[in-house]
Amino acid sequence: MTQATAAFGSNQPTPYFDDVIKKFVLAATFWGIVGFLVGDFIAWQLAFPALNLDLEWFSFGRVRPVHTSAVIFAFGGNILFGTSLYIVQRTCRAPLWGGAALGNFIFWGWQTIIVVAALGYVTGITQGKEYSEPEWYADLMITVVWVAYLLAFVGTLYKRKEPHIYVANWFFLAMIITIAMLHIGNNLAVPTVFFGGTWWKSYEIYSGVQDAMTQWWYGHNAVGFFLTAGFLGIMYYFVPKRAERPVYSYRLSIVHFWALIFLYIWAGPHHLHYTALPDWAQTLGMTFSVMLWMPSWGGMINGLMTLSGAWDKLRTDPVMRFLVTSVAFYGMSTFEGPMMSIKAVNSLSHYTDWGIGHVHSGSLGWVAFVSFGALYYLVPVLWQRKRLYSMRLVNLHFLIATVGIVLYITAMWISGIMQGLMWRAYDSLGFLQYSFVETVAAMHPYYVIRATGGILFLAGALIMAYNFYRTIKGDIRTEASYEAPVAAAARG
Amino acid sequence: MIDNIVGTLRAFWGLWVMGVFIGIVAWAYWPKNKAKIEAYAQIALRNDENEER
Repeated sequence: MTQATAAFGSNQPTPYFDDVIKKFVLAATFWGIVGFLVGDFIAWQLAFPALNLDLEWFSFGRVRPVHTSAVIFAFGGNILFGTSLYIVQRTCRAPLWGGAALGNFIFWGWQTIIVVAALGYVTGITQGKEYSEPEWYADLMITVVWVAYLLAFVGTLYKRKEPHIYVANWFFLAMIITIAMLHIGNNLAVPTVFFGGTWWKSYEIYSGVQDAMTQWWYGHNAVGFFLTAGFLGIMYYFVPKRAERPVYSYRLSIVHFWALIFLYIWAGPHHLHYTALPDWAQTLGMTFSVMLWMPSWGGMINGLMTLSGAWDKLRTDPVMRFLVTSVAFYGMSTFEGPMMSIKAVNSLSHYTDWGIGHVHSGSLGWVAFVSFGALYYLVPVLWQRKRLYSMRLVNLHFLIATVGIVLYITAMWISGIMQGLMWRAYDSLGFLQYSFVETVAAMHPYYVIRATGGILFLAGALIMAYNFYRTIKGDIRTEASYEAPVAAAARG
Repeated sequence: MIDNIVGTLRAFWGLWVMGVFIGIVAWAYWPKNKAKIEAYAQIALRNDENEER
């Protein structure tokens, strides 16, 4: 029993504020399914445009931001809030600063923002900036909730009983601070009402290439800090926890952290190769992106090698499969990313489906898988169940989702490279060989394969939700164990 | 005076940020610090009321 537990008395299960973490876990599961469903719907729209239904609210352009916001900010956001506030309390051995009240304010504030933003998208209210679509009023709400989150997190760090701040918390804190800076920097907008327009439309104070550069400074670092640093925080806690062994090298985690922080912020210009952005800035973005390969693989090595000497857990623990596969996908996409940022490669890959394939190998393979691993860990712990309802169902989820991802990314690689090659093909007289619509027609079969992969990924998430439902209800499925009886007995 | 110093430092920011980073690496991998730093890894495992689940 730790000091904190002792001080709290024996009636409470833990000295920590876990009720709000439970809400984040449930919300993440819910929004994940919504986000995957909407994503698959728009994937079918691309294959069969009639699914636009001739209604503006269902058109691809309006529904796509619903998908991206739902998976990044609703699913990913709830995962990050939940896991970070769970981890910071435990690794600091201190209850949440601000308690249940502040926790609930963050939770309900964030859910409200999600609904407000999504309603805007389908009714055509948007800033039109990728991953930063919410209009100024939703941006202000985000700022308030985010500052509350910063206070809760830093307050808990400040009250810690553990002298050292565990590495997972550095990643979360870097994420919180950087996202605050990016969000404010990229959303300096004025509603047009002051110039004879409406309250529902605003314009950015920057224009032209400055606006583009600010947007991708935001956009790439949303990937770098929200979807990478934050989820590395999850990795640094749940992989050691599940493997029951310390992280492979704590010294590497320090170097990897600072290298990532120093380098990531410069990578944005690789989104603007061969545009009006000055050449030196493009080359700078490319160079920093290539350098990022090193710290990224530092993180991957640290995550994977934590398993060294315990690789048998991959055989006996399906939750570990999610966590380890996620780190492997992290390694793959952080190799692919720097490669694609090289100008010569980018001239083929940019604006094609290759980019979509890359993003999804990162988001489905890394972000979603590490989240699933964390959720499968958290649900029995938070609801104080002996174990999950069914490990076999976890494995089924893992298999279905993995096949889904492989279908998705291979289809997009092929379709993207084909698309890029068709765009740049010339005939013997120097004319472009293909019209644009011919490239669209050629991509149709790959769009169908991609959307089929999406169905599998969604089905996996539904299986997970069912598993959570039964676990929370307190059921345990009678099923063959993954561990040999001898090993289970030895473990006690 | 202050403006001059700040201006000079800003011009060389790439160098001193590099210096800070090299310092961090040297500190992290200094042989004497090894035991102390690696012990921090136990923090995640040392709690907790949910052992063995």
